[in-house]
Amino acid sequence: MTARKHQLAMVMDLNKCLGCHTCTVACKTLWSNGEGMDYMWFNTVNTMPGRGTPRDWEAMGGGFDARGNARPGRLPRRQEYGEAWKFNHDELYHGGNGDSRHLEIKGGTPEWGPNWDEDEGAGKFPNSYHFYLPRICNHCTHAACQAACPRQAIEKRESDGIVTVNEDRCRGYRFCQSACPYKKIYFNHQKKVAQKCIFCFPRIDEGVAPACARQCPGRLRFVGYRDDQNAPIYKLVDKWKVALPLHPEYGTEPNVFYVPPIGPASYGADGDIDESRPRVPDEYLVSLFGPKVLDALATVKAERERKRITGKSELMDLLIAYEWKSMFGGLDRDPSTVSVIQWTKKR
Amino acid sequence: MKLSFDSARRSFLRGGVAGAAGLMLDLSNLRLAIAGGGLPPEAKLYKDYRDVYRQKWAWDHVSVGTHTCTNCASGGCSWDLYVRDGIVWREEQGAPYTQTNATVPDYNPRGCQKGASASALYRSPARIRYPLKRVGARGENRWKRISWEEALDEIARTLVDTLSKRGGAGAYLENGNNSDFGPSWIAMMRFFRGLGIPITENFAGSGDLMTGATLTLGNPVPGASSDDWFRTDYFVNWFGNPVSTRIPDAHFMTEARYRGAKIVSITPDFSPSAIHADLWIGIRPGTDAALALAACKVIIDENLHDAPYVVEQTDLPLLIRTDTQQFLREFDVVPGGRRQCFAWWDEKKQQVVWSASSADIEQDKRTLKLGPEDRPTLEPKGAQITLASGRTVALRTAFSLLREKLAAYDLDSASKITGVNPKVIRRFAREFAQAKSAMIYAGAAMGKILHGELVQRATILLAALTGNNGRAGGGWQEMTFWELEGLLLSGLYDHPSDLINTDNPAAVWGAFGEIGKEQAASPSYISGSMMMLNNGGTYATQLDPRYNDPTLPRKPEEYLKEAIAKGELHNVPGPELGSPDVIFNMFGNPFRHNRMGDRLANTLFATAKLVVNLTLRMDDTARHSDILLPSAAPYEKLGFKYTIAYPPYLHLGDKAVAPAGEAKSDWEILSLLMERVSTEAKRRNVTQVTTYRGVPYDLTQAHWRFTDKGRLGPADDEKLVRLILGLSTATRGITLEKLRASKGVMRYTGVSAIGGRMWCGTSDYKIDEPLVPYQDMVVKKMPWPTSTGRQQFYIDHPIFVEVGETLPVHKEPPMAGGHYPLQLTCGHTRWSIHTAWRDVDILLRLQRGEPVIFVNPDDAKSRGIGDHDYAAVHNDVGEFVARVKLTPGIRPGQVHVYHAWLANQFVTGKSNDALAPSPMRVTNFAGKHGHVKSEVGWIDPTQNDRDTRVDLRKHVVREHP
Repeated sequence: MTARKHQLAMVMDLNKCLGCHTCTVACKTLWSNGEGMDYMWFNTVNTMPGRGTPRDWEAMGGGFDARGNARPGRLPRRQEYGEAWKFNHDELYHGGNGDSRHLEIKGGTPEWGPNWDEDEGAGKFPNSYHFYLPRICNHCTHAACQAACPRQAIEKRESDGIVTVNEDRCRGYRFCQSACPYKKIYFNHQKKVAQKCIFCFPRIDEGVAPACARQCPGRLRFVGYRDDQNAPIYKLVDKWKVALPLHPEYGTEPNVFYVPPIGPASYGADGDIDESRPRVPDEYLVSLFGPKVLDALATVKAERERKRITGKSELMDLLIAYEWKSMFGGLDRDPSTVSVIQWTKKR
Repeated sequence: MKLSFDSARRSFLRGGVAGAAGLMLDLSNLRLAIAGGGLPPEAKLYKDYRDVYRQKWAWDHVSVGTHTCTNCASGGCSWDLYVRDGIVWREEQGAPYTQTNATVPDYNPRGCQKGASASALYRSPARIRYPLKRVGARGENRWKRISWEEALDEIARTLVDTLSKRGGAGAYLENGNNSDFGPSWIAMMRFFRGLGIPITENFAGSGDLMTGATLTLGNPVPGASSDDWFRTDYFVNWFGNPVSTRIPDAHFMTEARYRGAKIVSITPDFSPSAIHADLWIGIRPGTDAALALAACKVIIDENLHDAPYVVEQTDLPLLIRTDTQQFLREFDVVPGGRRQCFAWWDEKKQQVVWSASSADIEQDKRTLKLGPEDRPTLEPKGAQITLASGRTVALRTAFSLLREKLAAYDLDSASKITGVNPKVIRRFAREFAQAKSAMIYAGAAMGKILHGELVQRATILLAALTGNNGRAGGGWQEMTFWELEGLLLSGLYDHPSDLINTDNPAAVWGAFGEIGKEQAASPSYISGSMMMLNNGGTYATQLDPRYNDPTLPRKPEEYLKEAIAKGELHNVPGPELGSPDVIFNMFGNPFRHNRMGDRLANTLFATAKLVVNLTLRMDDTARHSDILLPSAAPYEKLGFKYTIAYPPYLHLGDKAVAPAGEAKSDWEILSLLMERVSTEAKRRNVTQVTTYRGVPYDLTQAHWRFTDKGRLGPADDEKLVRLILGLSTATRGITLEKLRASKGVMRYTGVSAIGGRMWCGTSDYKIDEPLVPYQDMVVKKMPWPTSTGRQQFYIDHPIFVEVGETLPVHKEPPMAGGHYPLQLTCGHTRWSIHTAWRDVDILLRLQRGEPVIFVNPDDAKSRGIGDHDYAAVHNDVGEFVARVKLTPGIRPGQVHVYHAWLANQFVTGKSNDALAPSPMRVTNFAGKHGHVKSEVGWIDPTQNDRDTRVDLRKHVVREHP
């Protein structure tokens, strides 16, 4: 692999995620509304701890082991993603059926969907815990999907490291799906090609942030080039080290990073606050983000306290994002100003 | 490459008929062909797979307006609409908001997943595209398409029949809260006001009215702009869930946390908002007043309260007669003295001093400011006075009575009531008092329990004792509104066009004078909740003493009858309105928004000859209507988003595309109907009829009045928008053209004087500062809009005295629905705005596709119920069936259902609203007592549902063959 000029990256701050799925809907309505794409969600948000999308994806293997050898992975089944349910609307409104019909999913009760275990989490009342984990393709530096494809149909753009499936080359062997440890590649059963998050490359090419980031009302997604030392990504990932990849042990070097969540205080057996034990267990966060997560949490907490006392903290000011546009590392063009046929001229 | 309107419309209609799905193929080539531009040479060839994606992100034009999600209480959001072939392809936030100033984050990008899928709602299978007439039985869902002419003619004929026989009392309008603040609302007001047909007002009917805030602050809707949240040092989410229900504003909370604020969340369950808190207090449902009062006790006992503020800004230093529990009033002492004139005990003078804040003090002398010699005392010793009768009575301050009341809320007692550890209560109290600024975000659910009024009074007390009301980043906040005089004048005054080009303020005040006279004689609004109570089939259930406060000395019904007999209730919709011939419905879904709203089918709707529904889509109420008139969706017409002040920006909803099918704007529909009504009246020679309150008017002239002497035609939505802009203080300098040039969004430029002490008109407005209410009071020392002119915690109306609520107290939640072990709580969901979006496929796929109840795993297990099993939720009042979602964050003993599934999404066709007995709060019947007066939107009996008691049992659903 040759060194790329730049690598685009995203940081998602889990302390700001509302679980509202505006990202999911923004992505869905823009990209995955075509033939065979109904069940696809390039962007998902899941309540963690939880089984996620596809169900139990963390147990499906893929990626690389510590020595860089490919770990075996398996294909997710359609039921593990959940189908794009169809509903019997027409029976309700015009069929003359009165109250004898109710709105139903056609084809029987599903067993899973992309947000099936929303707001459930783990633990026991009053110390239950959960948080929201949005996920897109990680656009990995060492992409397992790319390594697994016998057709060289998975491309990583020279200019910015965006990973895309070349649907012209793809023959639907689905090795990429098994190899991706994050299970972020879908298979289009109509077109017989793999499809996945494209980091909104048509928007990137016009200087516009990806839809999931620009449309996020919780303002938690930072976008930019890893090596832009003046932009938030570099500062959050490399300078302050508060943003970490999900499951670094999968060995693919993701380019999506997370600021870990700080939950509310937990309660002891007597019902008083127990300062000694965080509500979201450290070991759970370590299992997601690796051991560095503890340092990241400590840094965020310390800087928050500094901001409280002194009113000053570069890190807190970054995370607050007083000016929304500052989150996008220069990719802050208003999409409504893009000329629609510009791309045709630029090619 | 913009399409001409005609070609866009033609292709849209074709697409609309075939269903939008038929156009989901790539249309960019077709677009170019239609526009006659031909393809650019390089675009003709498919180069590679990337072109497919590039073409997905393409559009003909962007409509830089917003759509207005008229039923959302978060305030407006700016959306750009990406239009292809006359169809809104997708929506993306416009994000045009500039920072208020450098110390607070900006408002961008505002918008949520509902806004991002608005087109999915507006093009959903439930959308009404043509006038429809019922051909089966009501509720059977059998319809035929009819023309606009047929529909309007039939309605006009029936309406003239009714008006000529029974006047306006033969009809009424079911009105929900989904109106715009624009032509749709104006159309409704001009039409029904003009015909003297009553309109239900449902602020209380939906349970949103905070009567405790009215009683205490003289403002049912107090609040700041949401960027003020960022400035707080202690943010308390009490009863709310802003992470789900204030999606565009919630970042100010999470960002305040990074600024160093402590975030507290007080809710029974570990909610989506609790996860972003530093401290979550999982309180036993409905015991919040006890927690607040215990905190107040800690604060007073530890002398952490802000005594100078309390003395100046609250009624706590005012004197109460120990013999009657009434305030000491001037007329008690001085023959012919003033009624609303209250006193404190002056420590220096050792005598009674009449407070210049009192409502009956001469206007120019009224003030909260104390004189240099004034020394009001909170706890005088031996205060007494000789009354005019010659009798001497001992006097106590409200503060000393409060201290006595608070004795019941020591930490241990409060802990027993609330289930919260005493140390946690004490810590919360101390932190709240010691924070530089502390804010209580009062969730709307605080109005939706029987004793919500007491919770509001108790939590406002906490904010007042600590001097937080009126402080930047502090105080008790719900939501406030920007008042638009132009809207009121256009809806309520016959000739608003006369005012538009006049610079004569007297003309405007004259118009308001006429509005006042007309409204006094025949008010446009009736109370929606009282209409439901009296005529909706819920009387016996809502007044059932078993479901109410067991400590009431008398049956709830007796308080109601007494209030009616004394004339304390304003404009009661009684039996005279109980058998309407014609029912209209606009902006709401009364079968859903009323608790037990399903009973309308067997009461008001059962006897009506004609039910007309102006509606976007087929909902519970539409299914029980006779003629459905397709109303244009927000982005198919012009309008303003209602002016909730979280974002201090006016939001224009522009007409991005032509209405779907044959839908029309509400203004056009009612214009056309009014024209026919007058024509029909002339044809039959029906001239004089009466309003529902007996005021005579000439029906043949109704159209002339509606159209402002012919100056407002059916296509003049834009003229109305200009009237609003031209006649409102808040929009001075804002024009339609400027709005369109700035993505339909501009910051308000002022605050209306007529909002008065209500709404957000309590501060001078600074365009580069977050809005902080009550600067008039805390800085300028202008009195509060209460009888005492102070934040008033003591209410001496006889009902309050009788039921032991002169001061805020805790009362146990009632056994609403019977003695059942579980409490059914409810809250707004992130997934819908009331029933809108509830049945939209893209969002259902991100849930479980059907109604769920959240249950603690232990409660489910003990009943043999597993995850995703059906459970029947039942009590004395009814039963509904839903899927169970096992959730450890739900408190044991609590069952939670998120708001506003449509009835026909439940397997048995009954929703959770069907079993909420919504007991009536007897203090809501109080009136004619200073600011304690009965009026819609002020003090009006509120519906509630969060106290409903239930049990669960496993339910097996029979599959359809």
